Formats: sequence, C-alpha cells, structure tokens
Amino acid sequence: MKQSATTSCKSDYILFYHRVLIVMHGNLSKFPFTQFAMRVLPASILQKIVDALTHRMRSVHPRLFSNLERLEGATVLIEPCDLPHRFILTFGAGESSLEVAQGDSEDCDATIKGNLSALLDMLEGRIDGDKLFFSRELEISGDTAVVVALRNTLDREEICLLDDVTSLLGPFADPARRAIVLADAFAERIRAYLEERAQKANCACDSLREENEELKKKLATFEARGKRRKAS
Amino acid sequence: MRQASGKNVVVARSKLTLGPLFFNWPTEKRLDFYSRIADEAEVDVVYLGEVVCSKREVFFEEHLPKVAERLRKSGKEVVLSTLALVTSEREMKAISDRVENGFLIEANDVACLQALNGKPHVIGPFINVFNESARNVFVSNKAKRIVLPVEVPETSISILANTKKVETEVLVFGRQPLSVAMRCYHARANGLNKDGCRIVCGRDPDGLETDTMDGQPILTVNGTQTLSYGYGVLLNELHALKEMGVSHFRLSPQDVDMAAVAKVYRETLDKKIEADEGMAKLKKLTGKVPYINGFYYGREGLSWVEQKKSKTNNKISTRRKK
Amino acid sequence: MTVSYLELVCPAGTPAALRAAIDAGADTVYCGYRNCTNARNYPGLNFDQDELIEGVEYAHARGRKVLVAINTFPRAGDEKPWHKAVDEAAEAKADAIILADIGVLDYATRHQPHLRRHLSVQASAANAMSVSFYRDRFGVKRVVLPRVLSIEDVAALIEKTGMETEVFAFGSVGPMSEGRCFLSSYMTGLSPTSEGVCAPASHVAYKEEGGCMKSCLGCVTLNQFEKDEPAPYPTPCKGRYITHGEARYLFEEPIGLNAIDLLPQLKAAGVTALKIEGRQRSRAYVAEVVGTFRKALDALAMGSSKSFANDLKNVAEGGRETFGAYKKGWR
Repeated sequence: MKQSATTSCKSDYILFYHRVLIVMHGNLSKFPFTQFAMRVLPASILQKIVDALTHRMRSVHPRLFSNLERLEGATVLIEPCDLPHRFILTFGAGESSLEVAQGDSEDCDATIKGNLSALLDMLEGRIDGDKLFFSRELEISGDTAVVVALRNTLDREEICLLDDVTSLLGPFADPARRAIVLADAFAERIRAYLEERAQKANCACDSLREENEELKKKLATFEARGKRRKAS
Repeated sequence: MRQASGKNVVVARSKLTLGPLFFNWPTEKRLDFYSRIADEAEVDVVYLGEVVCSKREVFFEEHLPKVAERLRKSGKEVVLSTLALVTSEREMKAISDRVENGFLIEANDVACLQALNGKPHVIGPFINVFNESARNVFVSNKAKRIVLPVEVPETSISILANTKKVETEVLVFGRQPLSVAMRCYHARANGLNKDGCRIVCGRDPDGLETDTMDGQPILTVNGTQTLSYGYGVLLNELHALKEMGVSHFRLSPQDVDMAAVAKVYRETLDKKIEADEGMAKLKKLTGKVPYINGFYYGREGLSWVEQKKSKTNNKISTRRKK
Repeated sequence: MTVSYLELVCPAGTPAALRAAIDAGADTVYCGYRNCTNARNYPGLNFDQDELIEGVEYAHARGRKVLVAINTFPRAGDEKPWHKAVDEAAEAKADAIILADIGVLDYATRHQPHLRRHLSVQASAANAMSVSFYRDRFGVKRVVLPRVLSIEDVAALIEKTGMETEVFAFGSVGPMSEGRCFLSSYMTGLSPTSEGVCAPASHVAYKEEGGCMKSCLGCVTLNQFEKDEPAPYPTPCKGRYITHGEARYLFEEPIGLNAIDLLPQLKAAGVTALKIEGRQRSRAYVAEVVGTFRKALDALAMGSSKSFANDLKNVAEGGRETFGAYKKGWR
C-alpha cells in the first residue's frame, strides 16, 4: 500500500520537503541543487509530497476547499516554466485535488503558465491576477472563466504557504518555521562564506605561485652558481 | 409562474409606430422624410425629437411644430422624444420646456419623470424596465405606454406585456441602440472631440460602420450612441408579440424607404401576407445590411435565429467574419 | 474614528479583501452577494450571508461601514433573489444598500424603510433632476455618480440637489452610460444589467495567430496586438475597431482612471465620498490602492499638497492613467 511506503520514506520526504520550501520561499534561481533534485525526483515521490501538502492545506483552510468544491467542475494544468514538473488541479462539483501531471497530452479545461514565483505570488494574494493578466507574466489558455474562478477563490483566503507547510510538522511547526527562515538566511550566508573562502583560497594560491616563482628563481641562481663553481 | 400569453388582454388593432430618428440628417432630408411619412406611411404614432445629442437639436427645432402639425393632420399621434443622457443645465431646461408645451412626452432619462411630475407620458427604451415591479412603479407614476429596452427577451416581454394597465411597445425594425455615452465616438473616429466635433455625424445618414480588426462589420457609431450593425427585425415574431399583449410595434428610421417598410409590417400584422412573404419584401428594401434578433431569444444580440415552422427547431446562426 | 477629508469607499470582492481594505484604511467597504443580484457576479467572488455578517462585525468593531451592492436589474418573473438580498442585507446590519432598479428601490423602500438606500452608478443618474426623482420618490440618501461627468458638472449637481455624492476615484474609465450598455450582451448573450457580468470570462478567449495575439469575446475579435504589448481585459468598450479603414481604440484606450491628484477639487465640489473600483481585483490590489489613497487623504487633511499619482501606475489598467471625464477635453 501507499501508506507503508509513505511511512518508511517519511524522513526523506521531510528532508527533501525542506529543500523545496527553501526554494519556494527564496529565489529559485539561487538554488540550482534543488532544481536538479526536482528534475531527477520521480513524479510518484513528488506526488506524495503534494498529497501531504494538500492534506495539510485542507485542514488549515477548510473554507478554501469548500469554496473550490462549490465551483463548477474543472481541471487546470499548472505549468511552472522554471520547473520540470507540471501539475493538474481538479476542483468543483464537490471535489478538489492536486496531482503531478504524467505524460504530455493532458485534457484540461485551462492552462496557467508562468514562473513559479509568479504562480506562488498569485496563490498567496501578493500579486493581482488582473495585473498579471495585462502585464502578461502569466499565460492563460483554454477556458478563461475557469482560471478566473480559481483565482477569485484562492483570493478569498489569506494563504501563507510557508505557514501551511511548516504546520505539517505539528508541534515542531514553530521551530521548523524558524529553521526554514533561518535556513533561507543561512543558505545565503553559506554561499557568501564559500565565496569568501574561495576568494581567500585564490589569494593564497596567488601568493603560493609567487613564492614558487621566487623559489624557482632562487634555485636557478643556485644552479647557475654551482655550474660556475664547477667550471672554475 | 410565467404566463405564456396574454389571452385575457383585449388587444385593439395593433399600432405601428415610427420611432425617433437617431441619425443626424440634414434639415431638407428630414422635412422630405416626415412629409412622406405623413402622406404615405401606414403608421399610427410618430415620435419626433432628438434623442442622441443636444448639439444637434438647434438645427431642426424651429421646424418641429410645423412637422408635428402636418403629422397630426394626417391622423397620426405625435409624441415628443427626449434625450437619452442628460447632464447639462441647458439640457435639463430643454426637457422642462418640452414637458410644458403640451405634447405627449417620451421620457428617455429619469430626469424627465421629475419634470413630468405625474403627467401621462411614454417611457422610452433608454429607461430600464426589466421586471414587473419596475413596470408597476412607472404605471403608478402615470406612464401610459412603456417601450421596452432592446435587450428584453421574449420570456420577459410575455410577462411585462401581460397587463391592461399600460400599453407595451417593442422595437421591431431598425438598428438596435446598445449604448449612450458622454463621449462622441463619431468625433473620435474623425480625430476630433465632442466639443469641437464639427457635427461630423451628419455625414453618415445610416450611422458609421464599425468593423472588428479582422474586418467583420459589428457596430454602428452615431455620435455618442452605439448601435448594432445589423437591423433588428422581429417580423417573424409579430404575431407572437401580439399574443403576449404587445400593442405598439416600433419601426426605427433608417436610411431606407421607411414608408415601404411600414407597409410590409402593416400587412404582416394584419395577416394580409405571411411573414415569409413579408421577409422577402423587406429584404428587397434594406440592401446588404444583415438582420439580427438574438436579444429576443435571449441570445447574443448580434445573432439571427431562423424561425422555423416547427418551433422546436429554431436554427441559430451567429454571424462570423466574412 | 476621526472625520475624514473625504470618505474612502473601497471594494471587497471577498472576505479577505474586506479585511485587507479595512486594515489598509478604508472608511467604508462595499460588497455583494454571491449571485446575480450584484454587478460583479464573477465565479468565486462575493459573499454568502454568513460571510457578510462576519464582514460587518469586523468593520463595525473598527468603526467602519459596509455597503451591500444589489445593483442589477431583476428579470421579469424572477425578482425574489433581489428581495431576499435586500432583506438579508438588513439582517446582516449592513450600513446601506446600493440599488439601481426602480422595482428593487420600491421594494426596499416599503419593506426595509430604515435601511439606508444609495443609488448605484448602474442607475445612470447623471443630472440633478434624475437624482431629485430618486431622492423624492425613494428617499435615496446618496448617489454614486456616473463616470461621464466633469468636475464642474459634479459641483453643479451637488449644489442643486444637496445630495450626498460618491464619485469614482480609481479604476476603469467606463465610457458608456452604465446600466444602459448592452454591448456585452450583444456579443455574449449574457447581460451585465440582469446577470451582473460584463464580458464574462467564459466568453473570453486569447488566440495566437501569425505571431499576433487576438482577444475575442464570443465570436467577436476585440483586439489584435503584439505578444509583448499590454493587453486590456477584453470588454467591448476597450476593443480596437476599424472605422474609415483605420483601426483605433474607438471608445476608450486601455487606460485606468486615477483621480488621486484631483482630490482637493473634488472636495471643493462638495463630494462626500470617493469610490475605488475593483471588486474583481485581488486583495493585493485593494491593499495597495486603498493604502495609497489613505496616505493621500491623510496628507491633504494635514494640509500637504504632495502628489501620489505615480504610486499607483503599476496597478492601473494598461499601466496608464487618466482623469477621465473629470476634465472636459476627454469627451
């Protein structure tokens, strides 16, 4: 059963999950290792993460889901341009689910395409959907009404993905939240530290090279002296 | 629930009316037009007066009493129509003056109702009457006739016309008025603005054709007014409308032989000719402009629903690009 | 709450937007029920009765007001939803209802006489005589003026009627006389006046054709533009049409109304309240626009004359702004 697989790999998921979150929260392009991870991550494992997330969102925002379920039945293909995976959101007519899309030809009512950051900003109500529409950061095709309904429904809730995701960890939510925010900052600091070290290392190399040259010169001088001595 | 027909309503002979001229015709053309209407057109009521833009009023104002008199003498009821969108002091005063001069008034802006102060009047198609409650308020305010907005569908007409308390009029021929504005689009289309418009609307006696970016004729601009491109035609529906209790049938003046158009409608109403025959005759009078009737069927206003003998099989066509 | 320079009336398409507007400094919010009784009947938007009651409690606890827009025109034989909306707004303790249809006004006057009545922009009352009619006949206390009047027209109307007025300060330009525009139903069969939806998203489509984008409403092409050109939401009055063989924005450009730099003039004209349009926009938009107007109004109350116009450029339609009809050259 799925359940046992989930339990056995739980710690891995959580670990990975944190990385995804850091990426979601921070700027994706800064973390090529996570992009790489998502590229190689099998859809089935990603699906489990998505399931855990939607399960959690369902208990944090019950109204969001009941509102989604009140809409007319529809499916939306969500295509973050900067991720290798696509998602299918099904809502309305009493149900709602988010699945990782498998295969190419998905028969959806509408498609939303855009950078992950734009999609997440819309989810969290930070960016006006209309504005995205006329500034064309999001590309919408298919049944526009479905997308408008979805956007309006998401906008009814104050969603903070970071809070929702960390709350998955129950009593560890607060420390985890702090850890993630810290991790975000920390990752930045590690990067800065490594850069600094690399620069220092470069400097060290340069001085070693200089020293080396110096030694070579000295050696050459000694050698020359020795030759001269032999000759005399 | 809804009553399908006004069987209990005693309908006198259906009246054919000529609506107010929306377009800005030169004075000579107007005088000719109305004398021909007086002499030849089988219409019972004629609505006179400017509805679209008060800047045009001055040109015909002086001839109005004479034209009205001529029409009255030939046995037609004359109604004075008023502006659809009133904003200035001058326009309000003009309305108050009209109300005072003894004509039956067609109110197209609620401002008129304030001026009428309970005098009998006609509610024009630019005042929204979409439901019974609204209709009843207007009736209690002494409306003797209500011209329904073009958007009102068959299902609503059948309810609204089903009354003895007020006469109901429906637009059955002519471009359908879709909006009024403060801005003059005719001026804009000529690179001008309203205050310096040079009355360019006078150049287009049937309105200015407006196409989509891919060349489909879609709208007609007439000064600050926007109309449909197609002529609204409810010739096939005349008998159904009569059944519902509609008493007055409005022909809106276009730049075609309106006396001949009136004859076709009169004969169809009087069952002297079948609707099919009427349609064939009408087509010959109206040139290339397509017909529309979508609003009546609760569909896209620009569409044409073909009336078939079997009622279940109405063929719907929505005009697409050429 | 202190008396404001001008009352700031803000849109709330959702409960979250209501809270956002109030938190950002709205004096008053307006919202509608989740059905055809209001002119922004978009899927997923608006309030049910429980949400409205909660919203009113949230506002009242902070000394703010809630108005309920019941501003469409009932279809014949189907007036019940509008009557129910009027009764429920009273029950939710809304501070006023915003009405357009004469039949609904009549119902409210008779059945909820103590519930304050405002006249919606959808009633298209653009002159002193119309406004007086609604005042005398239905005891209307405030009128939302159509977006077709100049500041001079507004001042004259207020002087003549002594009515409270609410004018549009930010949002769309709306070139047509609202509540009497059938362009959208002409193209889609769905009526803004009865169904409360102008250019319903279900009838909107974007198509790519030969490197160009095309926006369509129903089977009508409203615009063609380059891929990177800013595209307005395809309403019929913001379309590009051809007259005399030349394509142009015949009715209105893709441009937003922003009167933030006209506030002293509007105040001098005697205006009571400023209306921010946009119940269909996000709560992020609401917070941004309301916050900026709050700052501008507070600055004016303190006697400052700082301009705030540029602060809102990026949320305006098409990224451009105009004073609209307030300045006469617009016509």
